[in-house]
Amino acid sequence: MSSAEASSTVEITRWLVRWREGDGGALDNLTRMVYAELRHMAAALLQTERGGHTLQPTALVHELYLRLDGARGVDWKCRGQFFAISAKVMRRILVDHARKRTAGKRASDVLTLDGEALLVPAPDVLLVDAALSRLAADYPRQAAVVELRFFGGLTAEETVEAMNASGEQVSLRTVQRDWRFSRAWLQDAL
Amino acid sequence: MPSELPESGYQPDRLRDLFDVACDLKGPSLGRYLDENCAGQPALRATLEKLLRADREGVGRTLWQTTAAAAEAREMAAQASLPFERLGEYRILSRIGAGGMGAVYLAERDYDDVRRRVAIKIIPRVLVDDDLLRRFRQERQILARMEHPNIARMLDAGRTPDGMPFLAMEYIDGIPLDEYAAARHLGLKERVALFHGVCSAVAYAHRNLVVHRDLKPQNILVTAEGVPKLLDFGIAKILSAAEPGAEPARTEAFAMTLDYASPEQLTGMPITTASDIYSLGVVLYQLMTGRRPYALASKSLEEIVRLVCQEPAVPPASVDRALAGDLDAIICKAIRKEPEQRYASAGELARDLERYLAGDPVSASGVSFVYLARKYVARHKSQAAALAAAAILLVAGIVGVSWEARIANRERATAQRRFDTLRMLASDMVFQTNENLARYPGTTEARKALIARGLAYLEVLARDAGGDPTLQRDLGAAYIRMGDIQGKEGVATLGDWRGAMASYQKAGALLIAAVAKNPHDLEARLHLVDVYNSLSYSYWSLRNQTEREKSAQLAVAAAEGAVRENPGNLRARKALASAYFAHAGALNTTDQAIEAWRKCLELYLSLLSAKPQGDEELRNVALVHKYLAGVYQERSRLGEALEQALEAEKADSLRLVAQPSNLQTQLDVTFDLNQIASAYDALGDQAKALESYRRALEIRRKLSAADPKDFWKRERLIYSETSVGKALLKTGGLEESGQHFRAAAAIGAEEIARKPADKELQSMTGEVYAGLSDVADRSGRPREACSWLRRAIAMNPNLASARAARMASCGGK
Repeated sequence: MSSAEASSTVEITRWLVRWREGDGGALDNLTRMVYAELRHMAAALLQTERGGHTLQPTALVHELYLRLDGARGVDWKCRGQFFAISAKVMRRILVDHARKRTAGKRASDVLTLDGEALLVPAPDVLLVDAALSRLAADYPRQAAVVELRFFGGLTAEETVEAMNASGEQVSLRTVQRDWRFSRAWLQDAL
Repeated sequence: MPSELPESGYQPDRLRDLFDVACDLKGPSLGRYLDENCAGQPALRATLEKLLRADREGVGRTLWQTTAAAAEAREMAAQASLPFERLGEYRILSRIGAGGMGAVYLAERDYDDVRRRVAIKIIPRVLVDDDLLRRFRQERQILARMEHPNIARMLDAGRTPDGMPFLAMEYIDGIPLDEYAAARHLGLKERVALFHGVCSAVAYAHRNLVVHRDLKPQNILVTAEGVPKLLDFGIAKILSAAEPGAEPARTEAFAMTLDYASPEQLTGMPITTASDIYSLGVVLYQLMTGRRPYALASKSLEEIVRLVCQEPAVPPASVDRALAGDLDAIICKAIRKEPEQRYASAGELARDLERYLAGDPVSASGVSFVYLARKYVARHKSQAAALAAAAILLVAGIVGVSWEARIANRERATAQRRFDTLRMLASDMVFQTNENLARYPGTTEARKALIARGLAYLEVLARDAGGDPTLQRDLGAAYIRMGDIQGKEGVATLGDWRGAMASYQKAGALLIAAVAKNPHDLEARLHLVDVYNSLSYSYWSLRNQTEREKSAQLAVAAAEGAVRENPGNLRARKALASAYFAHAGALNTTDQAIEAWRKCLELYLSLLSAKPQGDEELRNVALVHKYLAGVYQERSRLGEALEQALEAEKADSLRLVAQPSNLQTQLDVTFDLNQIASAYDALGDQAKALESYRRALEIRRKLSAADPKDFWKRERLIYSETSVGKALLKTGGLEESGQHFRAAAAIGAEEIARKPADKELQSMTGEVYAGLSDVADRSGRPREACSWLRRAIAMNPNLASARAARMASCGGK
């Protein structure tokens, strides 16, 4: 790890802790730092020809979290908040990237996806983004679940953590049901 | 109902609630539900049905894939025109698909006046490298020889005008196996007969030493005549990266279909014909039940690996009763987790299917799924070890290669980034795997193997860390975690205290260097506190009092430094509390010790008030109460001792409510109970003392039985058996007392054989023998009492003085 990267992750941890300790203004700084760091990591991945495309961009959120949490000090609420922020940020990054790519009309790019892990044309991130915004109009909580899981790459359990940290008290079952509903909704919409 | 409805004519929440129930319903009950709940609301019903259809189609696909499929469909529509009219000898006729491997075109070519239709696959560049053609040439002789009525032949390879590699193969006009079976409403036997053709094709390929590696329904097309044809034989080998070290494991792991991949494919173990048997089993499972053995949709890769490698599959017969018996047995045998337990060949699987069709007994039967599953659980430990070893092999390979790459590569920044990523991945794998294993009892061996490999890998990194303080700090932290797993006091441990100390000392050296170069680095300082604390405990485990106190003092000094630099910081405060904890413990039972404990309690109580239900916070408070109780008792302040012990149990009980099956918490409670018992004993309330000792013993027996190799738990069990034995001696239960001492003696003897140099263990076992001597003496068996006493004193000479009279009466023999 270069020391610039290291110091930024220390910075993120510091803002997380400050936010946890009640410093409301810390959230802005935190978001900015997470954005910078994730964008840096994503750019590195999206640029490299082979290695890059075989990684899930959403795995970055976990990867960054691991970098932060070298020490064992950050508690679950911080963790949840970090995931919540990161998923939003990741969504923005992927949408930005997709916009740029569409502008440059390199439509032949391919991404390896999770699950079936075959090489398929890049899913249209912009399409998902737009559909998700429509979903959010009627189903804000369900859309939040999708954002966390789809863009943040979180497991259902982590999604619960992240939502609880953002003040939305949900159970694991609720998240699972919301996910199923949203998935059907989005598939239909797409 | 609200007066103003949205345009759609229904409330969004209503749709969601109905979906919630309806998505688990099927057939007539679904129809009834929709009729009842959507009466008079056609718009609601239509939307709901649309969602339910999407939900059903979405099963087995992740959201990524869903969106990918949508994107693909749009792309295909946009690309209705063909990019080329010809590719070499081939005339392109039409585009017939865009699957995982990229676009597929129908083409034709004249072979000796015979017009032959071929399918041309254009391979996306990311899947291949320039060696594709070379590898194809290497394979072509074998592939050209593969002539079987159920195999689509590979014909040719080449390059498109714009440089994309393509493969040409026999064109099959058919539909995927599962769709065919569904469309024709095939019955059980018809499905088995169809699948039998698939098996014989795979058996044929295996005899020609060609492994498919990516068998799935989409690769098995059935023609209009009902003949199944396997596509893509040999393609996996052509596509797999041949260069060792170049994009290792990942490409391999990702270039397959996870739904049908065998455990060994997922863990990067060698792939053999047994992997194809497994995939065949999954395809058969799906063909017969309409489902796959595991629900892998929208799971993370880690979760998929865990499910496929560790969890027993849902037996096919429990999906469909009609499969109970032979078919169930056949499918289960094909998808066994251990390759050597599956059918030895596809031919054998085919023969069992023939027997089934003929009504003869099949070879797989007689071994029920339950039996297999139970046996599997029994073998779980070695399986876990194999998994851990696989993870580590992968890690070691990646790290070794990339580290060299980092030094050699001219593009240093890129290499650095890759190295960092891999280091994260690697350390995560080691620790995560350990954590996962530690949650299950009986995994000590697996964890030992894991740690040994992890240490070897840290060694390499530390050697090359150079003067980079950040890297030194991170490595220091990694060494601490290693040490914790090797032998952290009080934690489920591998019992390797010397190994742990070596790790802590390495961590210390790295961290001191890091702090010296970078004094404001709070992380490094906190880690350093951690190191001194842990060292202090390790010295305690090794009964080295002087070094123990010294380390504890260093811990307090380091923590005070951290708090000085960051006064309000919660973690610095935590570190200071933990340092006082180590320090107070090292001071034994002196007045200074009580003072230090009080200070420590104060620090932890303030941390608890910041997080009232926190498990860690509660545990720390409980621990301090417990130690304080011990000190008071030593100083004969018995009332205070009992009070503190009860406080400790109160705090730990709160933790147990939150996590009833947590092993650590259960162990903690036993210490509280022992402390309480000991206080009651000193206060003269023998009945209450016995009761608490018994409760502790009961818990420890369970804990040790669950993980019989954990030395710490065994040692604690000896103590508990002894305590109950002693308490019974006092209340007069002689016979029962003897039983407990004998149980303790048996464990003690076993452990001494394993650890002959452990003084504490010897002294504990001596106590046990002395107890047996007391029981014999009080039961009027003087010779036996003498014999036990001699053995007790041999183990623990201190026992002699308390039993001097008996010793004398035993005389010289």
